[in-house]
Amino acid sequence: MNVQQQQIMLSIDSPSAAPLSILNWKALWTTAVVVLLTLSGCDNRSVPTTKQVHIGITQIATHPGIDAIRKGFIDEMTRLGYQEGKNVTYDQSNAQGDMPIAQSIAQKLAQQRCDLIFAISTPSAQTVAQTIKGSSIPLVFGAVTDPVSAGLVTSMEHPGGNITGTSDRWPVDKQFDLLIRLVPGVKKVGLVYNPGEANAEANLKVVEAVCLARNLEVVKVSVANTSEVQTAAQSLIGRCEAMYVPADNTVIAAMQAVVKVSEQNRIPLLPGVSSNVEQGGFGTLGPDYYDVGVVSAEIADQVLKGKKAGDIPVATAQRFEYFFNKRSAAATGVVIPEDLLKKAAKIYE
Amino acid sequence: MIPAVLDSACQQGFLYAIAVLGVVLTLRIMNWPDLTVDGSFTLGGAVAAVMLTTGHSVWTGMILAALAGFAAGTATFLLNRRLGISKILSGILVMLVLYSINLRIMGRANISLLRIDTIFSGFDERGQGDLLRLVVFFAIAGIFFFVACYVVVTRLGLFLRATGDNEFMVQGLGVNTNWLYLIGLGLSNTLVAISGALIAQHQGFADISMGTGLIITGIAALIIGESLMASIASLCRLCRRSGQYNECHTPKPIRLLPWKTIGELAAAVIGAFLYFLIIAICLRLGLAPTDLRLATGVLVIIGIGIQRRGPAIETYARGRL
Amino acid sequence: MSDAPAIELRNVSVIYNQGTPEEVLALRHISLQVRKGETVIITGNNGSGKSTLLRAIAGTAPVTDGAVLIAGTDVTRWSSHRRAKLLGFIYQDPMLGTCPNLTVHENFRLVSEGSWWSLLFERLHADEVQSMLVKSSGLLLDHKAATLMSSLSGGQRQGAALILALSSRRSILLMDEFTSSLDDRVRASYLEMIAKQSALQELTILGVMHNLEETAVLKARTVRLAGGQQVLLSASKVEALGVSAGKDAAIQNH
Repeated sequence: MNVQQQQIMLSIDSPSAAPLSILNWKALWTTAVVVLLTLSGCDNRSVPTTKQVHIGITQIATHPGIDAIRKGFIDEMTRLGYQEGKNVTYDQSNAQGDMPIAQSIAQKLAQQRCDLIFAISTPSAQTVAQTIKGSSIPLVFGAVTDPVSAGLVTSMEHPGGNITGTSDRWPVDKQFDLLIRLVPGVKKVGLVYNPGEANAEANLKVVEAVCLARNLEVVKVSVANTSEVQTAAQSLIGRCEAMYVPADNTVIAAMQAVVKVSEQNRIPLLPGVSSNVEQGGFGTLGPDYYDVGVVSAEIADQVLKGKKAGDIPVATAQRFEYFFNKRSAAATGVVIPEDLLKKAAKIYE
Repeated sequence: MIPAVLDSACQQGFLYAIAVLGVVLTLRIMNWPDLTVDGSFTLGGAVAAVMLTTGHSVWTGMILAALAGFAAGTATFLLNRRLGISKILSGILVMLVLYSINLRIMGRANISLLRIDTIFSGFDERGQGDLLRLVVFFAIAGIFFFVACYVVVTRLGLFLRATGDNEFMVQGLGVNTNWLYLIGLGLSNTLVAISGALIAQHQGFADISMGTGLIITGIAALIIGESLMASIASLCRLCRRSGQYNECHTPKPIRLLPWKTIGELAAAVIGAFLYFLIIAICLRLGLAPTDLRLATGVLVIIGIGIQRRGPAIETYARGRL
Repeated sequence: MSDAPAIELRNVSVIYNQGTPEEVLALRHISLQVRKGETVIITGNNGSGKSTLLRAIAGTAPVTDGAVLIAGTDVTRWSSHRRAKLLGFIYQDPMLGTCPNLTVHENFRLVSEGSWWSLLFERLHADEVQSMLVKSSGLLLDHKAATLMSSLSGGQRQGAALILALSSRRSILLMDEFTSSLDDRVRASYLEMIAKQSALQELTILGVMHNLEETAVLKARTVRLAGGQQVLLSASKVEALGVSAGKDAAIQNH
């Protein structure tokens, strides 16, 4: 009775207390939206007690190499004293190959005023570079093959601005020296590539220059997507004595097809990217992507300790190691010398 | 300082809104599902980037990007009208061809504009959360919206809509519908190319894959916008008594405007804004981009549901009020 | 040129789907002349080629032999939209003659004159002929000006299509059984409207109808088709149909 009396009193005193009509639903809905917007405007980090370093990590897609870089970065940062949860927090985002989402991620990280942003791959780095203009957030990139033509830095030695990082130039010259040593008599090298990939283009120019210097002829076949790779690889049969797989995401995604063609036709295969040796190819030299992440972390540490990013020269991976695949080498008739096997970082059976 | 989410949505949303206006022109107004837009978006970005990096002025780049977009629309039109290829297939073919053409135009897969003076260079020093940038972007989208509305209200706009509705009848009036389709397709792809050029300058680079999935984004944004407009229209109708429009009442001139089509155009702009707002919100809530696609898909389904089941809900609500 | 017949068919044959199993010989060597200002009604059983004859003039049927002339000009090679500048067409199906998703006002603006940049909502009716027609038709289309065409009933839409055709300033009108889906009262009023306009604007009308009784109001001469050819109407049949003998078509059987 009491409650009912109170309700009657309420309805008499406040004429605006209308029954729950559609107008009230509209008001409720509007309030909910406003609350949602406000909440999402807030950061969802916990309030730091000690001086917490906030690092934003953005990558363009899921890819074994990119993931290895990220892991190397975080591991090295931990080794350098940045303990996650204690004095550093990471905000990791993956654009899953979608450009507008990469842009949104960059905006989010810039708005959160990170102490440093680590961007893996060229498109991610470019979107971040644009959004941090006008702010003081430094950018460290990892795995950008040609930072100068990507507009990220003015020169490799003196990047200028707020941006520096690690470039993943492949030791193409050493790779082809290995090829000449292990496949005597090779004159023509066939390769499949996708002209639509920026990273691959830079790689290809280096390949052609290196081959020219070693009197090797490059036979190129272009594809636009992964489903064309097998046909392209088959078209190289009989036109070359060896095949090369460049640092091209499209071809690498269809690596198995190229490996099959090489093994079935006894054409030695030289992969340009070391992590692909596991799938096939007799072997190669390469920096480990993990190492690229490690070097990037070292740079990030310098930046966080106060050095201006623009003064730190762009690092290139220095450690190169041998990777061999015994099964694939045997299938294509390549004999790997004992001394190289002993030096190898990784041998796949 | 404006909320971060809003800032994100405004920056990308209002620039993509121009492309969605183009999608509305062909898809809804002329009933032509045009898949060329994936290619013409990148085309606009490529042409603008090349012009800027070779030292031409910003306006030269924009005008050439617009003309290139018109040419792409013309190509799709010719494939359909002269060779008799179906509308969807013509769009796909031109989109495929444009991939190679864009690569040739750029010379490489990615052109960086980070160190070039673009149309938005003035905003660089102001950083994120800038109110002026929000206002300017809104004004840009608004200008395109008003120009589109003006065209729709003229006799030309009437014929464009009539062609999409009943081409047969328009031909029976002695008008060559081919010209109308050409104008429609050309203008639509011009808008998309302009949007591509603006986005390339805003994000700091032009990339061969920047247009991939644009038609999906456009349709999703459009449906979100349309469902919002449908809900608003429903609410308005609920507030009116039935029988308000009785027989003996000649309508005032203002009622003769094509409000439905203007509503479609508004849905395009609002939808684009909402689409990127939703993405920004989801990212901040920690959703992975793969879940983000799921979230957008669910919202689109809800949007279609509101539009389809709207009348039933409205009747129910009217009965309960 | 002014005494040339408004419509002339010289030895016209129409074959649909020539060379395929679906081949149909729809018109056989038809010759017909319709003078300026005359009204001609074509009758016949189903499949006798009446609609095909209209389509041959309008340009949507494949003419394999002979010539079609409009006002003395040979239009056999002309596309349909080019001929449409000279012809008005009223369809049997009211859906074809109007745009369903445009409002009534917008449909009327489609046929009226104006530059490409003139604004839609300047006036309710763009010209006097239209407004007079709308008033006289008793259809109350003015009040429905801002509603969609698809919200009108079939009869109203057919009426609207009729007004569109009559106000489009064409001197030749082709009507394809447009009364078949209408009730008697409406049919009578529409035919009256046509007769009045025809006298006023000196229209040349070529129509297809099943029912000859109502055509008296149009003061038309009739042409009967059977199997794609013209046939003679016997005297008894003429009386039965209530058409006066003097207005029968000349018989030309090739």
